[in-house]
Amino acid sequence: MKELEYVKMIMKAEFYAYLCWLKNNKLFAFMTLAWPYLMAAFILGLGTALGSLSVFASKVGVANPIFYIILASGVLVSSINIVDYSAWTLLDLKWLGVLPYIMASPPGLKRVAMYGLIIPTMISSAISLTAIAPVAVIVEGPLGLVKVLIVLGLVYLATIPLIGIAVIAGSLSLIFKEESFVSFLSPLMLLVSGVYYPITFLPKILQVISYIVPVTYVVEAAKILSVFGIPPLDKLFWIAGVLVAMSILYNLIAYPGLRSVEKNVRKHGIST
Amino acid sequence: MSGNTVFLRKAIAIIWLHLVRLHRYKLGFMNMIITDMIWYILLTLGALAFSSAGTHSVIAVLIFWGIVMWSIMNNTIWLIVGWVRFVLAWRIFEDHILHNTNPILLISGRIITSTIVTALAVPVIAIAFYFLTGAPIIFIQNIGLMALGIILLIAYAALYSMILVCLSLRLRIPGVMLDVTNMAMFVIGGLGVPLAWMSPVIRDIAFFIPYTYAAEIARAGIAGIKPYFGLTNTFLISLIYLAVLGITTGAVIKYSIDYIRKHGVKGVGMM
Repeated sequence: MKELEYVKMIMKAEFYAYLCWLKNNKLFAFMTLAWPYLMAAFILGLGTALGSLSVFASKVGVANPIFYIILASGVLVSSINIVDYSAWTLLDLKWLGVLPYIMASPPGLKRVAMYGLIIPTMISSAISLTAIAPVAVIVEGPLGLVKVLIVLGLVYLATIPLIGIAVIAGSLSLIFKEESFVSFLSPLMLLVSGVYYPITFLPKILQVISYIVPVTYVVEAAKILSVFGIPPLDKLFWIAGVLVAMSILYNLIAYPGLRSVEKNVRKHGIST
Repeated sequence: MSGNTVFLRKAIAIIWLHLVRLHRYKLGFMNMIITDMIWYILLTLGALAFSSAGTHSVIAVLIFWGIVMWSIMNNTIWLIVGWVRFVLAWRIFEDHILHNTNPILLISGRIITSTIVTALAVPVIAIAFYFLTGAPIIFIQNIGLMALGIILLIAYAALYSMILVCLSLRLRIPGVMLDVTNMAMFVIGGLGVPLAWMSPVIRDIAFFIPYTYAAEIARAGIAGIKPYFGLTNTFLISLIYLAVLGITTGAVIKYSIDYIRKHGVKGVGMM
């Protein structure tokens, strides 16, 4: 019961803080909307300058390549936001000197780090993916909007295991005397997930790693959805099931991991 | 002490600081190199997904060096502008103003970090790519010209970053998010496509972007592709752009620091 109250309190506080940031910085909110389009335009410009969309469609295995690139760019920006925000938050708190206060507060560091990240990452993912909704509607009609919402749902499912991975990686910066050494995480996840190419382009070892990365499954869903008309729903349910299983497994590892980091920091102090 | 001596002493202190940080944060330094290499691979593979199998080796050379130049530009900007977050969080921005040292000069010292990261990441990834794809990407025709082009590219990116730093301090938007033009630079900034190969409309835009000329010089060194205006003219134009950008950046920095001295740094919350 007490745990649920902590979750509610932390999420409420984070929700309020994030809304205030957006309210006080409207230009920042606008820039968040623009990034998926910039990324899509970049990869389209890069590819079509030296190749063709039809080759891309046949290699990646999608019927509607433009729709896929836009959808994949939304997933890419969301994933970067989730992983970077989760990994950098602890470092930001360390820099600002407020970690000791958080550790001394009743919920403690582990709860603030785990639950506190859910709301901001969910809002930023919603912004990134709803930003592409107008183009999805133009390309595919109302069905395009439904597809974007399905991807958003899957991104939400992937958020939980992603936070687990990123928080553990980010918490290492409290133990090591380092500034930040986890910013390779988000591009690495995107590299192995095959966001703009088939996974078969990668060496075998990276193909194997891709199976344990949640983003791979969201990218796969985006590929399934990039057909004209109604996509096969059974495959999407299977992907949702995998993401739920990952959420449970990764957080079973992350939560005790974070507890031991907190214990270490309480004993030895924060490394700066 | 004369003004020049004081400036020199401050500049040496800032260079020393950044070199010490590189030594101190070894894991972070490695992380930057690895992150860079991952982006090179990710974008190159993305571009290769558009090209048919028969043209892979030819296209791979063009794509690879285009992406390397784009990444050098992007990396310089992100490492300089992204550091504002650290400087503000550690509250050392005001400290530097109080000690009569321009904090923008402190932030611009990140160019040392970005240059070392690039110098280490590019050869490693070029060799790895050569062995992976077999594309002749490591056979450079004139290494001096390539280096000159890349140095100009870094100089433009560094000056542009300082303008973004000043804007981010005024607008409260993380500077990296202000860098909306970087994605377009691959095509309209001439980094991925030579001027001679562009459509007339895009070429007209590319004429006004300094990166175009640095890339033309670098490409002449890498693949022997003759610059659109000839080598000497391209070099002269690139120097004119460097002077104009330098003067503009100096004026923007002066205006921003004067503004900050009066109104304080606007760096709260998500900045």
